Amino acid sequence: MEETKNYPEEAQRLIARKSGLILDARVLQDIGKFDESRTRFLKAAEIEEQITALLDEANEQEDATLNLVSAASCYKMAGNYTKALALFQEAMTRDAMPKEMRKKIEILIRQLGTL
Amino acid sequence: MTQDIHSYAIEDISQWHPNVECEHVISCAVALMMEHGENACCFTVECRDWKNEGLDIPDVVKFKVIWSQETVERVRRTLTMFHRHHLIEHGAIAIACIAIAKIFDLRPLEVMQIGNGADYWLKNKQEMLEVSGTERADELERRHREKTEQLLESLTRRYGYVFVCCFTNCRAIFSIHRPRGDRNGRNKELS
Repeated sequence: MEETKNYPEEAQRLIARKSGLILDARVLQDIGKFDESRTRFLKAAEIEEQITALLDEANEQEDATLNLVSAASCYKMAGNYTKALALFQEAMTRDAMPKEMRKKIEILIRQLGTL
Repeated sequence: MTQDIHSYAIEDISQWHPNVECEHVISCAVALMMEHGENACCFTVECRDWKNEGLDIPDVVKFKVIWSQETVERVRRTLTMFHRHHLIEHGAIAIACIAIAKIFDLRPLEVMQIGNGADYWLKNKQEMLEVSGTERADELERRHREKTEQLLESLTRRYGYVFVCCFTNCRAIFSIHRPRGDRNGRNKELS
């Protein structure tokens, strides 16, 4: 088992906040409360962008890239496809993008391109 | 040897995972557990492969989940909105939240949206978690195998965990996994 990695305190707080928002947004989407779901996804996306910046600063580029992908996905779920596409593309330019994630993102970019 | 059965109030999830507000997943779990008891439900968790990793975790852990009348009232107000498979899928996350905080201490939990699905990470992205629920007791093992396969596909250099639970018989499996090909419990990339 690995030791817990140290993140900046602010990043830690934001990670908890957006995790709750994503959990709730997913439930709300499933029960057809789409407006409430989109509002939460949008807020989560904005927080994910802040986390990305904080983890970049903390020299945790690979982790930051995952948060950037999550930000893009949350924008997609919130209906902001332009922003989602831009962030997926930004994530793909990062060397720190985990190999196993790259293929998933390529598919998501193609899907967004056809919307 | 008898094991003490601890009781955990499901509403306390947001204290054990500070700032993770997850009112809706709690409602889903309580809606299903109310079929077993008015305000409490006992879960039996099989802890698989932990001993192989040299970890002092019992093979079986039992715990009782309790909930408040206020939660019951909220669940009754919202229950009709849910399809049963949504209750099970989201309810499993609430039970996993209890297990990772109170039995295994794998915090902090992070939830990410990746495409249309959710990814769960532990200990600040050091380890991954797959979660799933079912209401068919005979499906628990198969679901565990599927989630394990799914986990191992994305597990390249970290440990990972699979938590699957069945709300019909209140049993769960919580297993620990290393990346494929890593026989020393630690991948070369980490050393």
